[in-house]
Amino acid sequence: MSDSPSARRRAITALSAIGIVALAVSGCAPSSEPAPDPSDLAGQTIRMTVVQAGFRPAMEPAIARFTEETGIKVELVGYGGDQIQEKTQLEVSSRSSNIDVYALDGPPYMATMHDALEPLQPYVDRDGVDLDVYIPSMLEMGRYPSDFTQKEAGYKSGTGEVLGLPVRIGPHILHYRKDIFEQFGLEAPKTLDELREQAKTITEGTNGEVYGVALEGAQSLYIVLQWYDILWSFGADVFDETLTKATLDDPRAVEATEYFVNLYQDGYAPPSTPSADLDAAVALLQQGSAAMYPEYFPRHAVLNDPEASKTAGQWIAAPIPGNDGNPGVAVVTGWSLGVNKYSEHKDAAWELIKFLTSPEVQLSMAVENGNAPTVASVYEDAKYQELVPAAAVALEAAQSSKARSGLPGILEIEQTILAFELNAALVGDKTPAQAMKDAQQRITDVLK
Amino acid sequence: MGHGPTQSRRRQERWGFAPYLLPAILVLAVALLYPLTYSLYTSFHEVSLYDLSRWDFVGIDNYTNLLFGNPAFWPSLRVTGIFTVVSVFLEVVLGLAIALLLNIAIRGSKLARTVVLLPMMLTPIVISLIWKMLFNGDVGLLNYGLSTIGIDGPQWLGDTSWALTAVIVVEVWQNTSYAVLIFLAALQGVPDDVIEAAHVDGAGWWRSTWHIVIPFLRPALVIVLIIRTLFAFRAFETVFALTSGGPADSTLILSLFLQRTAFRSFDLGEASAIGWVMFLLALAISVVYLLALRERTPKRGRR
Repeated sequence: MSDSPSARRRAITALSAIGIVALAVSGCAPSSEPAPDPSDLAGQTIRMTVVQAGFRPAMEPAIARFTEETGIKVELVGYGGDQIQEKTQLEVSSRSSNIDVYALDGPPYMATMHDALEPLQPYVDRDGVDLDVYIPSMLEMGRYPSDFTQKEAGYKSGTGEVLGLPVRIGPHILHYRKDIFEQFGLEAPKTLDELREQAKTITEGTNGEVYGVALEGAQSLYIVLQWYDILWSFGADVFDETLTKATLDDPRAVEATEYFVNLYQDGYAPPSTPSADLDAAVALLQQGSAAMYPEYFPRHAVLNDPEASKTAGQWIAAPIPGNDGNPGVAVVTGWSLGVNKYSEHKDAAWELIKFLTSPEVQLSMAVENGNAPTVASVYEDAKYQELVPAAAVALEAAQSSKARSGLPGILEIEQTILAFELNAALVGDKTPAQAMKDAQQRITDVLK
Repeated sequence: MGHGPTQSRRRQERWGFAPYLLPAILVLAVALLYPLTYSLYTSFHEVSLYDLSRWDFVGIDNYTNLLFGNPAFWPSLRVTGIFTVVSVFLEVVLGLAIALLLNIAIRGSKLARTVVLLPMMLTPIVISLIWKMLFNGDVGLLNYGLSTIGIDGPQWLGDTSWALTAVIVVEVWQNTSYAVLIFLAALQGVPDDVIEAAHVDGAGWWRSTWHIVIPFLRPALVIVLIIRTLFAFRAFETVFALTSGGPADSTLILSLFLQRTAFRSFDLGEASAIGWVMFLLALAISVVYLLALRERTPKRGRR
C-alpha cells in the first residue's frame, strides 16, 4: 500500500512540509549511498531510549508529530536517570539491535559506546544538515574523540567523528532568590568569595530561616557535579588534558574542596546537606529554605512552578561565579541522540534524530514542552526569552561550560570514588586534603 | 522369589512419583541452577560489562582480591552483620510481643491485626521514600515531632553515626509484620487445655506464656529467624532508596556493594564473587540455625 503513488505523494508532501526532504527527492545525495525513498520508511517501528522523568514528556508531543508526518512509529524505552547508563551499556555490549536510537548523556557514554554507534557524517552530508546551528560544546559532546574524551595529545576541537546530535542541554547555572537578594541589597555574585560572603549574610541575617546556599551533599553523582563547578573555577581538574593521569594532587584541588566543604561546615548550607539528593534539595528550595542553588538550568522551571513551589516567581539566574579573576567554569551535561550500528532501521532512526534536533522542532519543544534547546538561535527567539528569562544566562553558561570526562571507568571514578571522598569530607570523616589524596590514589589505580 | 513382586511394587510406590516431579525439576534447573552455575563460572573470570566478548580465566583472583585487596569489603560485611543481627532481633522481639497482644481476644483485635499487617503490603521503595521524607533533618516530620518535646533530632540520614540506625528502623518497621503473622498462626496451634490446666494449677498469664506458649512457638521462631535473617542479609531496596550506602559508606551493605561493583565499576567477575560469598555466608547461617534449633520442640504427651 505504501507503493501506491498517492500514498507516496502524501508522505512526500508531509515530509517536504517540514523541509527536510529536498535532497532525498532530487536523489542527488552527496554520500555514496543513495537516500532512501521516505515512503519506504513509513510503517517501520523504531525504539529509542529516554529518561523517564523530564526527558520523556519533553519529547513525546514532538515524536507524535514525527509519526504523523512520516508514518514511522516510535516506541520509547524509558529508564530511571540512575539506571539508563547501565541498561544502555548492556545493550551496547551485547551488540543488540533492540534499540535503534540511543540517548547518550555526553562523553561518559561516548567513552564506552562509540564502537556501537553509526557515524553520522555521511547522513549529515547527504541531507545537508547544518551542524553550525548547535551550541559548539553540545555538538562536541556527540563526537568521539572529543575535547572531553580520552584522545591523542594535540587533538583539535571539532575534528572527532560525529556519533550523536544534541537534543537536550543542561548547563549548571546559579539559581537565586530575587526577593531575598533585594531584602539584603545584594547583587548576583561575581566571584566565589562573594558567593560565600552573601551566603553568610543571608544565613545570619535570617537567623537560619533561609540558608545561603543549597547543596546536594548525599553520596551520589550530584555532589560530584556541584563540586566540579568549584574545582574547575579554581583552575584545577580531576584529569590531565588527555584524561590519562589524575591531577588531584594539585593544591588548588584541595582549596576548591575546602571551599565546597566549608559552605556546609560553616553553616551556610542546610543541616540536611549530607543526605540531600536532587529531590530533597528542590523540596527545600520550594519551601523557601535556601537562597542560592547551583544546578541544572532545567531545574529553573521546577523552582518557578507555581503548582509545586511556594517560592515560584522569585527565582532568577546568573552564571556560576568565577574565582581569582577567572570566569566560572560550570559543568554542562546534555543528551545527544545516536544511531545503533546494529540497528535494522538506521534510516528511520536517522530521520527521527534529524527531526528532533532540527532548529524548528528544538524551538517548539522548548516553548511548548520545556525542553532545554541545543540550537543557539532558539535562545534568541522572543517568545522563548519571554517564557524563560533565564535562557540568556543558560546560553552563556553552555558556551563556556565544560562537560564530564569521557573515559572507561568514569562511572566508578565519579560515583564510587569521588562521591564517597567528597561526602566523607563533607561530614567531617576526612579532611579535604586527605580526601583529595585518597581520591588521587584510587583514581590512579583505576586508570592503570 | 515370592517376595519379588512386592518389592518391585514397593519400589514403584517409592519412585513412581518421579515422572510427575520432572517438570518442577526442569523449572528449578532453568530458573535456579543455570544462573547459579553461570555466576559461579563468571566469578572465576575477568569480565567487564564494557566488553562482553572477552572472558579471561583468572582462577580465584576475584575472591582473593575481594577478601584481601578490596578495602570496601570488610567494612561492608560489618555493616551487613550489624544491620542483619539488630533488625532480625528487633523484628522477633517486637513480632512476638505484638502477636501475643493481638492473640488476646478483645474488641477491635481483628482490626488491629489488619493494621499491623499493612507494612507488608506496601512496596519497599514506597516505604523508603516516605521514611526518607520523615527522616529529613530540615523539613522532616520526625525531627519536628522531637522538637515539640524539646529534643533536637539528629541528621538521621546525613550523619555517619545515625544513618545505620535509621535504616534499621525502616527495615524493622516494614518486616515486623511478617514475624507477627507467623507467630499469630503458631499461637492458634497452642493447645488450650494445657494452658487451662496450668491456670488451674495456679500459673498466671506471664508464667503460662513463658513456660508453655513460647516453647510451642519454637518451630515458628526457627522459620522467622531463618527467613528474616536471609532476607535482611540480602536486603537491597530499602537501603538503596534511603541512603544508597552513604553517608561515607556507613550504610553500604553487601548487596549495594555488589550492585556498585557490577554497575558502577562494571566488574562482573568481582560482582559475581561477592554474590557467591554472600550465598555461602547465607548457607552457613541457615545450617547453624537449623542445627541449633532442631528437635527441641516440646512434643505433646503421648496419649
